Amino acid sequence: MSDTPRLLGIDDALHIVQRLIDVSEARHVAFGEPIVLVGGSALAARSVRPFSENVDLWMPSFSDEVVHVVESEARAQWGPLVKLDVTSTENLWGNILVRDIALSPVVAHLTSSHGPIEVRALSIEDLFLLKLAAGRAKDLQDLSLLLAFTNAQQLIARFRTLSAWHGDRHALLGYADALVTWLVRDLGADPGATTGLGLPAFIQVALEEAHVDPG
Amino acid sequence: MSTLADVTAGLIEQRAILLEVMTLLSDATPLVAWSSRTRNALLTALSDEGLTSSEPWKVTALRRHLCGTTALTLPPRTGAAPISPAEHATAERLRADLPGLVRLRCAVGLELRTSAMQ
Repeated sequence: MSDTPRLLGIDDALHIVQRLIDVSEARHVAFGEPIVLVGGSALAARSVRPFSENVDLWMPSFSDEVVHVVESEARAQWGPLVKLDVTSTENLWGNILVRDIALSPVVAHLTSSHGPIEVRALSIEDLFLLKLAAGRAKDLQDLSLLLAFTNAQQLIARFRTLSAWHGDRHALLGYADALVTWLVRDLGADPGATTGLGLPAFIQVALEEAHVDPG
Repeated sequence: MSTLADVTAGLIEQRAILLEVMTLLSDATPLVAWSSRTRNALLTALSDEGLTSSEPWKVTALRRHLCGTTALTLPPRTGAAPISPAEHATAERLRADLPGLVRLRCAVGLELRTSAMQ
C-alpha cells in the first residue's frame, strides 16, 4: 500500500482555484463569481487548521467538464484522493440555505483576463453553525477548533439570520438546543442567552424549559 | 474538546483507510480478503442505520455507484463493538469521496451479500 497523499494547504487550494479560472478561460467557458471557499478549504483560509482534505467551492455557475479537467490535474500533482468539489446550490451540508453566501468575506484575489477575481470564504460563524446543523461525526471535531475563533455573541447574531433559512422548521428546536448546549458548556454563556436567538415564542419556551429552568 | 492534533490524526487515518478501500475496490479484491478495519469501514459507509440529515442520501448514492441498482443485504461487521465516532467519521469520508474515486459498479463482483460471507 502506498503512503497516504498529503493534505492540501491554503496555497495549494488557491492554486487549484486559479487553474479552474485559467482552464475555463482557455476553453471559453463562462464561470460565475464570486468564488467562495467552503468546507475544509474555508477552514484553511481562516487558519482554523492549516490544511484541507479537498477543495470545496461554491460558485454561481461553472462547467463540470472544466472541474473534471482541473481535478485530474490536481490528482496528478497532489495524489489520487484530491477532490475538487464545486456546487452552485446554497444548501452546502444539509437543510440550511446560506442565501447571502456571495457576501462572505474576501480572503484572497486571483487573476483572470478581465481583472482580479475575488475569492471569498465562509465566515467562522457560518462554518460552526452549518457543521453543527449537519451533525456529522467528522464535523464535530472541527466545532471545538472553530470555537477558539469566535464567541457566543457572534454565533447568536449569525444564528438569528441562518435560522430563518432552515428548510426543516420541525428541526429548528433541536438545532437551537444543540447551539445553546455548546454556548453554555464550551463558551460559558448564560443559559439566558437563548432569548437572543430570535426564535418563535413557542420554541423559546421549550428551550427555556430545558436550559434556564430544567427543574 | 478536540485539539488540532486530534483532528489531524483523525484525517490522516480516514485518508489512509479511504486509499486502502479505493485500492481494494479498484483491484476487485474479494471482500473476504479485506482486513477487518477496511471491511468494517466499507460496510459502515453502506449502512444507513441511525443516520440523519443528508447522510442517508449519500448511502444511497454510494450504493448506486458501487453496486448499481442491485438490492444489498450487507454482511455483519466484524466484531461486536459498537461503531465508534472515529469509525462514523471514516464512513462519512468514504460516502463523500469514494464515488469520485472508483469505477462505476466496481463492487458488483464482490457480492456484498450475506451468502457470500458464509
